[in-house]
Amino acid sequence: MNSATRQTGLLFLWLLSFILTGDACDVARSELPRSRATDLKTDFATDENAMFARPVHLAFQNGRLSVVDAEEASVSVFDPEGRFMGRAGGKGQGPGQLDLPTAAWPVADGLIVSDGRNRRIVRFDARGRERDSFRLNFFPAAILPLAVDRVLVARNPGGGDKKGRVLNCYDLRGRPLWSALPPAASGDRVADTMSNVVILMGAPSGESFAVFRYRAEGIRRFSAAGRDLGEIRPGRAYPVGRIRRTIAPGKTIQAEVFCWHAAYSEGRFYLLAAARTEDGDLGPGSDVYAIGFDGRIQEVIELPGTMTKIAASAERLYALDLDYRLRVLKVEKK
Amino acid sequence: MKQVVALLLLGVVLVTAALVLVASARPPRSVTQCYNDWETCREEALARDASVIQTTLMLTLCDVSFGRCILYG
Repeated sequence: MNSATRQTGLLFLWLLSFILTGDACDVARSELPRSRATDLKTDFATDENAMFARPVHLAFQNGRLSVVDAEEASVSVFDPEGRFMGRAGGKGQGPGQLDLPTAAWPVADGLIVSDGRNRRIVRFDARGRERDSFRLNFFPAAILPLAVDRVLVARNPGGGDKKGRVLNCYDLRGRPLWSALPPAASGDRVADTMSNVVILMGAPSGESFAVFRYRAEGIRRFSAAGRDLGEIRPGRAYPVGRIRRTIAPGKTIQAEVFCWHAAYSEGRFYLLAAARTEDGDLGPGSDVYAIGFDGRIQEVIELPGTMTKIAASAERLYALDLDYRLRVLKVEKK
Repeated sequence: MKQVVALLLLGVVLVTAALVLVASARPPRSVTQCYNDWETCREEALARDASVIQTTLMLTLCDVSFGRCILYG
């Protein structure tokens, strides 16, 4: 092989690697349709009912929005325009009280809440009074109501427990119905804890969707009966966050962030992509990727700042910003 | 002036002694209590929406506390 042929071959290989690696993704990403989200609720900086001490969950369902405040141990409910409707909970172990709640969803006749430290699932009526509850033998990390008679509860086993499952479905009396998704159990408790962090989303049909925040996998689909319906993987242009940093001699942290948070509405998934922080770490971002059931990225929505949690309805996006304020957003094509 | 300093030092010694006595008088926590505290610590770390490295460090601290709790109660 002469020198000219070898050089041509090397050039070809370099071009091929350029096309097949991240550079090609960046080109594709820049060509995605882009939209901009702007604030509809303009009093977000002054509405004290829409400011929280430590919001940990945001959900839109049944025409209402719920925000869980772990610090205040309460759940606030808003209408689709972001107007405050009421609040349930309060710190404690008694009826109607919560301790480190992790998630809540508006249901037809009230709210359903995962009451973390009290290890129970609580239903509140429309006036914010406790209706009933059932106990769990683990800390409920997240919940999702499925249809009218069952609830999906996420568990984060962490410390090497291979027997439990991440997703556990119960009827409203607390009887187990099905479970799915074995937890990560590598023996590294910190890595396992992060790998088992799951975000739950649901469709009105009773189908559920699960996304592992710190695993570069897709969106897992389950029927209301617990049948595994496969996985939706977003197109190559979707930006999975990756970080590798040596923090001490012999100690390297390596992690992937599939998305910081996620929401579902009307056949579309909204994935809030992670972004680089000023110090090179990975944190919450300001771009939401709207993805269809085929995994195709339909558009990239630019939020008006960095957000930590999102929820979606047919017409709006909802988000919690870094100052723990509720934002109600309208999406417009750029 | 010397008397004020001496009184301050005496105060510090008494407070420290009281804290040590309270800590040693506390009943040791059970393994279940250690586990529950660890679970709560993890959830609080994850709920903070801190960046990846910060979250990893917070979870490591939870693990260290869990280990100490198991060993020393």
